[in-house]
Amino acid sequence: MGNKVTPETVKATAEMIGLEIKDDEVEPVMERLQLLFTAADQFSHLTENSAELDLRFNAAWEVEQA
Amino acid sequence: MTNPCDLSLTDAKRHMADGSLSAVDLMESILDRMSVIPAEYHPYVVVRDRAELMAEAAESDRARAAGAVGPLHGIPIGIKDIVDVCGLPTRCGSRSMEDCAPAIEDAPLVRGFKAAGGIILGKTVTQEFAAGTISAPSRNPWDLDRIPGGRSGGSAAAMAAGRALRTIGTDTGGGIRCPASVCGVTGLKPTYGTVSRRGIYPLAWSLDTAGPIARTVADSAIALDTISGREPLDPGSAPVRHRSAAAEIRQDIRGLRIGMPRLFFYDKLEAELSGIFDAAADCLRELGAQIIEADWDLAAEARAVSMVINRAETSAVHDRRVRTHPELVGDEWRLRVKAGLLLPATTYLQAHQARIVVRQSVANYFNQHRLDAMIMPATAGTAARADDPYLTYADGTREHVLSGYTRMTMPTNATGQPSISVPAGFTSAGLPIGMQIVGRPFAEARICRIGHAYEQAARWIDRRPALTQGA
Repeated sequence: MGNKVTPETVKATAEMIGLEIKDDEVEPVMERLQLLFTAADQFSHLTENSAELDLRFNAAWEVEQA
Repeated sequence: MTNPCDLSLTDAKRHMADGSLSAVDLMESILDRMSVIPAEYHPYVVVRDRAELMAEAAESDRARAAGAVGPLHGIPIGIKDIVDVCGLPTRCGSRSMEDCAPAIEDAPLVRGFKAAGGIILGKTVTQEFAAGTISAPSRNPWDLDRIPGGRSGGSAAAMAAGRALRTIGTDTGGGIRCPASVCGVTGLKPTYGTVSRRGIYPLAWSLDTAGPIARTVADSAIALDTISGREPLDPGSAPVRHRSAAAEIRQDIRGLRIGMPRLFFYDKLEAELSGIFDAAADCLRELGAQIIEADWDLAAEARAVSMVINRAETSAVHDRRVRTHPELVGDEWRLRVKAGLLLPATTYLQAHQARIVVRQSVANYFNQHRLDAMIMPATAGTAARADDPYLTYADGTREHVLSGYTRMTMPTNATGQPSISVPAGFTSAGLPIGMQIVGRPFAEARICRIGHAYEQAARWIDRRPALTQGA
């Protein structure tokens, strides 16, 4: 991943989905979007092999174990 | 007897049962306490009419005399203003909801409280649409220059100042546990799917939970038991048989195994806090628990997963609002939603993919070390100043409370586990801080047992904010 968000990508993406971004919003929206991409980078190593994921797994492991 | 509004729910029930306290006296005490915090910092957005509340309290006393007593009989309860209460508007702390009509029915959890005999006092302050950690205009009763945390800051502040005997909060990234931590009260986030979300304005549907904020662990357990259970109209409601959260509360904790992960959770803390949490762990050891110092190696990834899912789902919920009435929402809220709208769908889907791995990893962590629970700080810092909402860590770095508070809590929103924040001590500045006790899914009874044993030994719950003294 390693996405680097720029003012241009914010404006272009917003235009593509018809979202109005005012000039004074570009910078703060960019900062918040960058945080999300940084978070996504942090877990990207967990998504490399989706074939091994057990989609049936849920939060009920206490119940399963009991 | 203590001023009735300062009683725990459990003590108030006991006094009402032996006839030394009436619901009318309790209600009067709480309504009188309303004036101790200046109106501009009030934790309630609306308090119901005094005459109506007193009449309901009198009716509650009559019902008790006739032998009809529920588990929350005559107990005044505050409800966060994103939860529907019949006859009151659900304004969600947003100007965009100012003109909304009163709710035409109670949310199931409100019905649960009423069926248990509780009396709804009014609606407590929430950060706009339950997102954020400031909860303005409410302030922290321990220091009115400081924030109560969020998102259920009004609920926690009301509890700390004795203006309800229990309140309800919601927790998507820490909304119950963070304000409970910095207001010195107890906040219980149940397992995802334990309490119906129907009638609660959504923030992020795959993370949202609702639960009690109360003075003590026993109070929290009693309250949770009145609102948990299968709700067919909520697709997120868990298809399991719910165990009473109070089931084990009188048992000691000898032999229980408690994990203490330091990696990630102790990376950045305000000065003094590391010592406070070490002392809390020592107290648990003295009570007979085994503290297993072992790291959960995907804690940071769990928090990252939670953040991406939270922002993407929030933006999906509020897409239309931000496009059509951007002028009616707060600046921070608008920017946050717009950033989320620009996030690729694939990133959101990958977050859910990673969530499966993260859940499996915490299950492995619990199973490998044969744990009953794990403990960690509930927040990385105490209540921040309202005019400078940043935490300053022991290493001198600073972090905004939005990320500083939720860093500790978001991992368990991703995994869906139950977690309770209990008061763990006070800094030299007199500010409270909470410790989280996290359990296996649907093991609320076990974490309440541990929390209760710790609370009764440590007795931090006996301290009250100075502004309530003599009020």
